[in-house]
Amino acid sequence: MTQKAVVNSPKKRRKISGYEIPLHLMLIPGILIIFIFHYVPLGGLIIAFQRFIPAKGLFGNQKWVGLQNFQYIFSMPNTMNVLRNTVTIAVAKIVLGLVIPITVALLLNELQVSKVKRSIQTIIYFPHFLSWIIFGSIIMDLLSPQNGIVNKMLNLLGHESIYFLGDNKYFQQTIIWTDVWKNFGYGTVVYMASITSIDPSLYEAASIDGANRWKQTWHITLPGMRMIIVLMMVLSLGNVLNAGFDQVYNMYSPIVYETGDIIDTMVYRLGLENAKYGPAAAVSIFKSVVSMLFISASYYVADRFFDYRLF
Amino acid sequence: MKKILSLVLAVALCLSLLTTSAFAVDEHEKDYLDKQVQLLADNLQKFYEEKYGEGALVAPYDEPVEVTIVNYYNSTLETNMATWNEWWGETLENNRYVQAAEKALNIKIKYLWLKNDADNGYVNQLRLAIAAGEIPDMFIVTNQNDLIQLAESDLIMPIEDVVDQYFTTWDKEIQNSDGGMLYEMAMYDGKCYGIPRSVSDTDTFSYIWLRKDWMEALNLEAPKTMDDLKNIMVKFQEAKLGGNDATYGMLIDKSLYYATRGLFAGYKAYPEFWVEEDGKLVWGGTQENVKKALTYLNGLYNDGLLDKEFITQSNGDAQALMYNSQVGVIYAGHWIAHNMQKLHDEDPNSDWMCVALPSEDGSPVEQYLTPNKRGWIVINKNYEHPEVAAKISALCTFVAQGGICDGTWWFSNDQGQILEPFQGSVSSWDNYNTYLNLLECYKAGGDESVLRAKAVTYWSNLHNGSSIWAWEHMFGDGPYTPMVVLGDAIDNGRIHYDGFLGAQNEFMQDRWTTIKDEQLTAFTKIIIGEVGVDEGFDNWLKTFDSMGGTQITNDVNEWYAQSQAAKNN
Repeated sequence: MTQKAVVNSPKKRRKISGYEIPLHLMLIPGILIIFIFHYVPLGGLIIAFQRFIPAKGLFGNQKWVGLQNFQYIFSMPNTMNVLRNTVTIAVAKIVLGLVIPITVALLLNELQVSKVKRSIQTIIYFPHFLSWIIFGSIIMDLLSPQNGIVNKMLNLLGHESIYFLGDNKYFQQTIIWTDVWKNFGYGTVVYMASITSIDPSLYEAASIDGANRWKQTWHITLPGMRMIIVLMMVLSLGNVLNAGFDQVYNMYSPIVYETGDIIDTMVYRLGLENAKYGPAAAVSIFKSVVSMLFISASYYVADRFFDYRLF
Repeated sequence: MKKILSLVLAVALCLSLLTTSAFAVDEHEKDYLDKQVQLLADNLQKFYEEKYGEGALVAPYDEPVEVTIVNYYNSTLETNMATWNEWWGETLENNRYVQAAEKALNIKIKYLWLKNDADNGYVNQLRLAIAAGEIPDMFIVTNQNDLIQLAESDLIMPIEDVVDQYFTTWDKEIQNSDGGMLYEMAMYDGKCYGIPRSVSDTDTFSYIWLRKDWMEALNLEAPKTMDDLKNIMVKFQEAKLGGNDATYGMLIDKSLYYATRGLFAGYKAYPEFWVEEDGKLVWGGTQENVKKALTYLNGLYNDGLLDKEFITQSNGDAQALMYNSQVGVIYAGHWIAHNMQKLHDEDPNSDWMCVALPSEDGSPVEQYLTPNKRGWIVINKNYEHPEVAAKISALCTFVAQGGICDGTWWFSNDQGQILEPFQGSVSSWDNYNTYLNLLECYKAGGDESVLRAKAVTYWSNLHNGSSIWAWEHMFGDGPYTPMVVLGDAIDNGRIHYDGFLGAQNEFMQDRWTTIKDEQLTAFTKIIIGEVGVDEGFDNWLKTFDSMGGTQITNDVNEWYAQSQAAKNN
């Protein structure tokens, strides 16, 4: 939310005034914690390049294997499939995770009765707080081909039952849309907050100029939300390889590995029996590097086209 | 008004605090633990001297000896411990065994840490501790690969001499009860590094359970062949005696094997084990007989005898079919009777029976087991008193099987076993031996003095408490218990063991999980008819080969050849 800072003079430094010192001191514990728990452990990334055997100790004589752990992950026969699933699911979630909340926020904004507005907000926000263990089993019940409500309704309309969670044709879509259902409430609340920050006099001026509701939305509301939208987009792009381990793990089964297996679930199964710390660390690094690339790219795009600097 | 309300609430809160602590007053003897510990200390040496002349092995030390250990527990134990703490001041770190070891042997057990074992908590904590270089003096290792790695890194000592010199005869018998397989699994470079803590191997045995009241109502006989079985399933489905339209033939779930192990065995197919064929080991999942079992299952699926939703259900989920009387045939372990008890509580007419497994041609079925264990005791290379392991082990065995201490109390429904420093170790045939012991008691007209160890607790469960029906169906003296089936298999040599006991090499560690994943997916697809049996099985064999299965088989057979040669020398 910063504009380009105005500097008095390029050479003179502003003195830190007295009341700012306690504020700086208050930052120190936070910085220390981040340093100890996030920067120091970076040294542990070295595990990704070793054949790590716990018995030898953290600093023991671990065998250096270079990129072999990365090779091992990519040589698994289904890796291309898994990568494809991960990217498809994650990108769909990101896109829908932007479009749906914005749309719903705009629609909710039109409601005049604030009690109705608030209750709808609460209802749609609620699933966000459930864990996937609970929400997953609710979904599995709803989508059951024999007893689930959804299929019963489909049957009434003359359709055959669809095995959403057991059919490769439908599994990805199911994962994507149930995730949207669970989380769109969160985005909606954020966007609604940003809508309220738009100056109402702009709307008055526009309606005097003869703009209808739709034109007002397009020319005032959306541009007013622009910054928040870009912020949310940049933040979510960092998740491009996190297709949602919690969700997929609770809802998948061997029959849908083909379209449902993501990087995290594959590594989880690999590591389960034999404590494969090396390959797990390698996958972490891979995901972090890709995330960093995406965030950098979106930072650049945001700066260039939207005149908006995150940091 | 508000003031009065808040005053009343405050008083109510305080009173509720008082009442909860008031309810902590118990009917149990406050010093029962002290009494039992003293009883143990007074009798330990005497017992071993009388029974084996080995009193010297369990003599207390003159000077206290310290030993650091780590251990795991579960949530049930945690809850129980909270109560026990109120009753006699016991804690996880200073539990009954710790106190007994100090009183009877002058050994001070110090726990470096204790971890809840949910989600592999113990294994992970142990690996972290080892990586950080904190090796306790002695501890249990549950994972074979971890044990071999510890041996490789020269952190633990070989234990053959320790066992020979210091362990009691009784403990040696228990440790060898499986014929030495668990010792073999702990071998590295020609030396043995772990002392087995075994449990019943027979827990892998798959039994077939049939709805007894339905069998009687429809006048059906126990099945001898797989065709008989299918006939029974069809009749069950037609009759819908559970009152539910959606009645199926058999229970099955997405992880496949547990619910079908006995069925595969009926076709001499063993997809979870390494099987000996012509002097070599072959992975059971690649044998021809598997196709026959898969064809049968596919047939059941096509005829609507399997719940089509099984592919996304865990075994726990699938058991809903049992609770709703929607299914009358289940392949499971012996302990499913506990779940059936819940159904019986609601519907006292429901009854289940366990019969001999049907097979393709009616001949008796052979089954494979894996050596079952809580783990191995390993001893830190630098620890000066390795014999402490022997003494503690002897103490635990005495408590469990000596018949002098109050077995039911020490065991506390299996929770007491977990408190043991090295987790209870029993013979590999323990469940069956317990059953035989119970039969002795039945024959003697209920003479409880013949009961030992677990049989004491089991006898109590057979006569008191809320699960009598379940216990009778597992360990009672009727003709339709799983123990009858098990006994028949044991007496006629129809139990075999998984052939591969070595540690997995690097290649196998890298590939094996994924190969087993592929097997599960391939078999599931065949069963639901997504691909034909022949085509699907051929594809599976090709996948097995391309993912390294052939090389793994060769490596396994290298181990096998060496191990056989060592045995024959």
